[in-house]
Amino acid sequence: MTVNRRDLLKRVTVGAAALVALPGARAAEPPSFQGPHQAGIFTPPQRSAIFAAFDVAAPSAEALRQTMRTLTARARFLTIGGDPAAGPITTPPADNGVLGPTIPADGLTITVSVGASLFDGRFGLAGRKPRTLTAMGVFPGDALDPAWCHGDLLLQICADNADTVHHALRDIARNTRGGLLLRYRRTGFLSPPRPAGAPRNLMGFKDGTSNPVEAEGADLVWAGAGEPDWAAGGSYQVLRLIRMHTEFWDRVSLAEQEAIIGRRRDSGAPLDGAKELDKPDFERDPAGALTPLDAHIRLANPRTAETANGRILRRPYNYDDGVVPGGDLDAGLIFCAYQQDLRRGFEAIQTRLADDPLNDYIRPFGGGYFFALPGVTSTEDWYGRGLLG
Amino acid sequence: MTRIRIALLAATTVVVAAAGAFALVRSEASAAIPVPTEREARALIDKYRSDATAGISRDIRYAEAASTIGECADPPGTYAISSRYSMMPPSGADGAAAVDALREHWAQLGYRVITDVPGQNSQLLTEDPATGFRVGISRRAASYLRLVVSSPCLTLPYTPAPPVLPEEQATVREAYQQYVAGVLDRLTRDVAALRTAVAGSDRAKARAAWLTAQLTWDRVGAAYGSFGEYADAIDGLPQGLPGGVHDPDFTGLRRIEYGLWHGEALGTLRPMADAVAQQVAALRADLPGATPDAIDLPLRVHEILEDALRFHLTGLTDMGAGAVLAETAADVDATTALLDLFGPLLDERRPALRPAAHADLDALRKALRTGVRRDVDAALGGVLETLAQAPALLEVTGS
Repeated sequence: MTVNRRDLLKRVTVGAAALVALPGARAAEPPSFQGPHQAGIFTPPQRSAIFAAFDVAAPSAEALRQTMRTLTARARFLTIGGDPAAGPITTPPADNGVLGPTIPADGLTITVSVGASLFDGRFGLAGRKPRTLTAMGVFPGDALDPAWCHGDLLLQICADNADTVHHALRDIARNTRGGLLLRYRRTGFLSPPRPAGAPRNLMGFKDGTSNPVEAEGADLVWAGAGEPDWAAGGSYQVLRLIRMHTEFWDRVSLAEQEAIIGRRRDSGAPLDGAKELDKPDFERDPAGALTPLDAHIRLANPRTAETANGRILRRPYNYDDGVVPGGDLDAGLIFCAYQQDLRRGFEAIQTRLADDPLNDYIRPFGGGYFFALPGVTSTEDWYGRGLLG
Repeated sequence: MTRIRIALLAATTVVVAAAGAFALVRSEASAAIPVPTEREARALIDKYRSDATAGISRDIRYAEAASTIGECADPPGTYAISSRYSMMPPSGADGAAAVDALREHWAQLGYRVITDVPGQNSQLLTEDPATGFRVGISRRAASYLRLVVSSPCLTLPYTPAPPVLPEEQATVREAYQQYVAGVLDRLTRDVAALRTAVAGSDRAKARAAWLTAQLTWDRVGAAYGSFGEYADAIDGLPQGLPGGVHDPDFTGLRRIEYGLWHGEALGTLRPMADAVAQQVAALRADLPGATPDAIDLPLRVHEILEDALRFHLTGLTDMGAGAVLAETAADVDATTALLDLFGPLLDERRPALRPAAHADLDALRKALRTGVRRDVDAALGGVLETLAQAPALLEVTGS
């Protein structure tokens, strides 16, 4: 197994090419605000995120339309950047100043999704709901707190820096005051490659090594046949707020951690491979000799023909906030995923994960099902125009 | 709601890393071969295994894997890590072809042949001169191949504990089963008293009877999905059920607790108490089968109190009685019992561990008696870190 220079060079090249697809890598060009799909879905995940759920308080469909137009205008400005509107020094300033006098784009994406509750009687939308959008149910092992669940509207705000996402949320909340009311929010971060490859979650394992690519979007991510016309270009989104019992996890042997996850912790290699990007070959290990049959990666993605169209686009962030009763860290994962069909995607995976040994180390406490709206396609367009217009 | 944690032997083939870089350094520096660390060695084992299996038919599948650490005779105090992979070729011809393919592949890579016995029971062992690692393949029968990768002798930063023999583990399981049987006998009486109490009209008495039964159940040490469906039926939780505390599937002692502290008529709790009695009887009868596997028991040494931390002290199990500290104390009893069942095996391997654990458990008991939450939380965290050292000392390896 001598490795010659040519092989090494090849490996380095492959590694570099692969990095582009991995989360955490920043494209040279800023994400475009306009397009058939919203930014922030296939955009490589930025370092900082806020997931903010809102209740819609707008009293009428017309008021909601106005709110969505305002939201669109703010998102357009914030993601492109520039000078905020100037006014007399005697009035409260239009901008909160957190980013200085000129707003940098900073890789900002704002992704707007709607929850099933928006389609109740309030705005006359009952007949326009995406085909399989429901409120998220309870799964075994969940300990859901109603204060951390659901919402009429969800904003996924991501940028290269934490101050930028804070600024954006604060700006949007201010400009939509009266129409939108914050319900809950969670701040997340993406770790830099340590030392390379996919970013690590707070269990110390690389997360996101295996994800669909944009070319697979039409088959796996974007709304498909049977959806209302307005939904074309949108995507079902799952948000799960998952606390990790990091103290307990740290008291588990490395061999067992790796058996639970199905990857090596140091390199991220699947247990039947040797390098992070090696593809697991579960067919060759039918008894689970190398990768236990209930390893997380094996349950989540068995890599069979039957499960191939159930793959989802994961876009998770770590969170690290305060203390839980008992003195342990309140830290974990903001699990976010996009897919064409909730039943075929997340719910099928979640069903397979019912017997996942990893469940003992995590406690989902919130989240919801949402539908990411189609993209804003022109300067006259606005979020949800097809739905509400 | 909790699952059984399975310690798989396969998983003891740990860690991967920059094996490529390691191998490269070795081939360029032709002088002395630097000895890899354990992590590097385990990564290289993965790499040699991966490289070998990539060169043979994909239809030859893994059947079993095991990893061992063996002490080297020379120099003393060093250890070799060795991993064995049993593989099943679809036919004898496939097996023979795989051996031939690897012989050629390893020759091309410049590996030195150590042994090459041809024939039906062929044995081929080679050594990579760049690393000192050995890789070999043998055929024992027409449809059985064994791939072996072993490291050169390494210096480890610790002394590996001698593996526990399977029969030693089985003895502990037997003793634990007897312990549980005794607790269940008591629980049978406690649940009978609870049934009588909910049949009456004295709520305070019913509450006291519930607490007695609950604490006895906690002393079983049914952490971490032990006793599976029996445990779920006896004290399952409402979280994870669509209807929460009002879900029809929410039954057992926790459901009775909820009713007793939420003004439900005592009579409505009777069928639930009857059902608990049935489940306890069923578990008692099925105990030899329902007791956790011997291989899982070492993990329970810390997991019983991990459950106290995750469920009691976060309030998830409190259905109104506010008995979380008393229940944690019962978990301390169960942990102490299990720790002592492993006593001789632990003392032999790390004499200081059990005294330290007992001291920590005593500190936790004291904190639980005084009821100062800060002290309870601190003591529980402390004892868990100590107890978490135990499982690795109690593993069966090398089977």
